Amino acid sequence: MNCKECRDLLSEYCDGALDVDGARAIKAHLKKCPACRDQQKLLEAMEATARTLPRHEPGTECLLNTLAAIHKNAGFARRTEFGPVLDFQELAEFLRVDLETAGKYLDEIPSFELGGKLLFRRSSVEAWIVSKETGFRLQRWEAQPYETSDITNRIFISA
Amino acid sequence: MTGISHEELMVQVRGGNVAAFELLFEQYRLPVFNFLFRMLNGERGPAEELLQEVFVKLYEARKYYEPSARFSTWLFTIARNRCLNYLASRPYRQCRQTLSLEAMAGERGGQAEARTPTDFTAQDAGGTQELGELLERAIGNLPDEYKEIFILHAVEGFSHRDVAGILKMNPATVRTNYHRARTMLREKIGTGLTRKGTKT
Repeated sequence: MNCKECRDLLSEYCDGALDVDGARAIKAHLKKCPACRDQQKLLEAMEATARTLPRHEPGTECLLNTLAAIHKNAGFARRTEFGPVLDFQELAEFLRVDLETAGKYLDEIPSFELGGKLLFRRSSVEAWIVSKETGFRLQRWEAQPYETSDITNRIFISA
Repeated sequence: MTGISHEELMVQVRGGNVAAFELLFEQYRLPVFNFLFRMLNGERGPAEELLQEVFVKLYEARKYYEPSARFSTWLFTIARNRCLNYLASRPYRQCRQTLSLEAMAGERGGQAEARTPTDFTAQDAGGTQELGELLERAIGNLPDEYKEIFILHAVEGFSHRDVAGILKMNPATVRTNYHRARTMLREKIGTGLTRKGTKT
């Protein structure tokens, strides 16, 4: 085996991808050829260096634009304003969860039905959120109107 | 969010979970950006534009995601296709001719002087930073079909099988092309080593 033949197969040899005879021939050549041994060392150093090449960071503006584009172009812009009554889709958006997750809490979240559609009063949903935060049970049957700002005084009973 | 696989997160994205998507973006923005950045030989602007396109495309295609497919493979398939489309559509292909070593050095904030591969000596093999610079330059000069395989496997750490999945190629072909890529890189970097080393 000459140096060219050896170097053509060095990569496979280093990965153990050669058959027994091929590997044996390379090994014998490397034993007597310092130049090819240097090439082998270089190959191994190159492989190790590739794994530690610097990680380049995209710019902050790029990241913000990407997130904005994802939200806008894909049609799931985060809403921050909601009307006083939410449908199921809006409820999930309001709670920042997917529809499946929102569905798991339908028994707990105060709702009413109108024209065959399940609707949610936003202030009641907010009260439910407070009940989750505080551990207090929501008094669902109390039908008195209340102001959103006053919910904690009006709608809880102790757990 | 530990314990939730990327595949499970993507299933949640399919169901409309924005937070899951943002988490995947956070996890993958760097690997995808670095893949694009190196494929484009260090051209930051186009790489950033493609990064944005890839993640928007990813969301738009969410309904086609099958949990049986590895998420990372799926994502990099999109990234690779967008990148190749971009390269094919370019009126000038100057960025594919020579890697701007100065640009790479600038990325690092360093003042590394440009050196040719013929300056490389056996002693330099131990200098990781210098070898890294030579390697970056040599990767930039590889043909695209070898470059993408080397970046995906050696730099980003994908297995040959995953690379084959991303490139829609036979794993054996990927392996063969990877060895060719590595041999080309060794020859480019090692020219000086051969000259200054022991004669054969």
